[in-house]
Amino acid sequence: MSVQHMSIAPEYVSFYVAGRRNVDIPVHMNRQGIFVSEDCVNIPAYYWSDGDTHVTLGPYSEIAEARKPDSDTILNTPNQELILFDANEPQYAVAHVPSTKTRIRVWVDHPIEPSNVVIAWG
Amino acid sequence: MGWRRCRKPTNPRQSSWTTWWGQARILGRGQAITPAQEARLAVSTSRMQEALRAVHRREPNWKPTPQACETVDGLIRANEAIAREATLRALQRRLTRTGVGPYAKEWVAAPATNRRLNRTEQAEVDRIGRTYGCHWCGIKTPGTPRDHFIGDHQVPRSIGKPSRIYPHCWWCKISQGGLLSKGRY
Repeated sequence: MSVQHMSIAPEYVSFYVAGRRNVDIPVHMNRQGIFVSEDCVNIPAYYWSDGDTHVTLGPYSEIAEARKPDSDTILNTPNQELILFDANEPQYAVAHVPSTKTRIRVWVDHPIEPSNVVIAWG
Repeated sequence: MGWRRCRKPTNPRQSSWTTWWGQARILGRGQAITPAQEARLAVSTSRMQEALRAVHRREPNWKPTPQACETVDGLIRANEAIAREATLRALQRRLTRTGVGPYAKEWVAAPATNRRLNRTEQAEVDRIGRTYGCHWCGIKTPGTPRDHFIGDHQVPRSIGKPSRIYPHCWWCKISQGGLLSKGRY
């Protein structure tokens, strides 16, 4: 259970966290920000042409974030895993979680185009 | 022994062409054709026909933009243009809201490599976006913090090799990503 760091440039300016594959991605045509459903969290990212989005994924106990999370939700994780992916990339990272429902907390440094995203599970 | 017909014209305005012993006849005139050109011509023709078949499965009456050509290279380019247009159309029919949108007028040529847009290309995407709007919804404000329209590859990179970049607003870009992901993984 280690913290994973990665730099990504998602073409669709967003990436997803889900507990299984083949999920419906929550989208909204009027609002901006993080969209959440029971199966998936849709997190905005930095515009791919302007730079990378730095993502940190790890257990909550090992993530040091002082402020209140920008999104706090319970996600279905039937396979006891958490997959980070986007429209083009089937898997950026996988984290193994202990239960079939996992609390996900997300911190972003900008509500629409974050360059740093921290995702904590558990 | 005479001229051999290789394929039918794809539209009435395009003349049929034939090849025979290093010669191609285009618009009724014989032109020298090299083996390399002949190979490229065969490849471009088969790609075009494959793309047209893909469109006609869903839209039997669809016709590509008429192309005119007088040289072998021109014919190859015309075939490639029809193949590109048909591929985009097929995608548009297959995945709603992911192909080229109704407000698409101008585009920027997609870089051959997977690189980021340079400042000039981004400025052009922004100009097109401010003139015609997002190619899907027509909105003329991009919704991004730096006021840049987002370059939308057509066809999407996950489906094929993109040839054009259209301006996209933030909302359409996010929803397109969600639609493309749906059911893929």
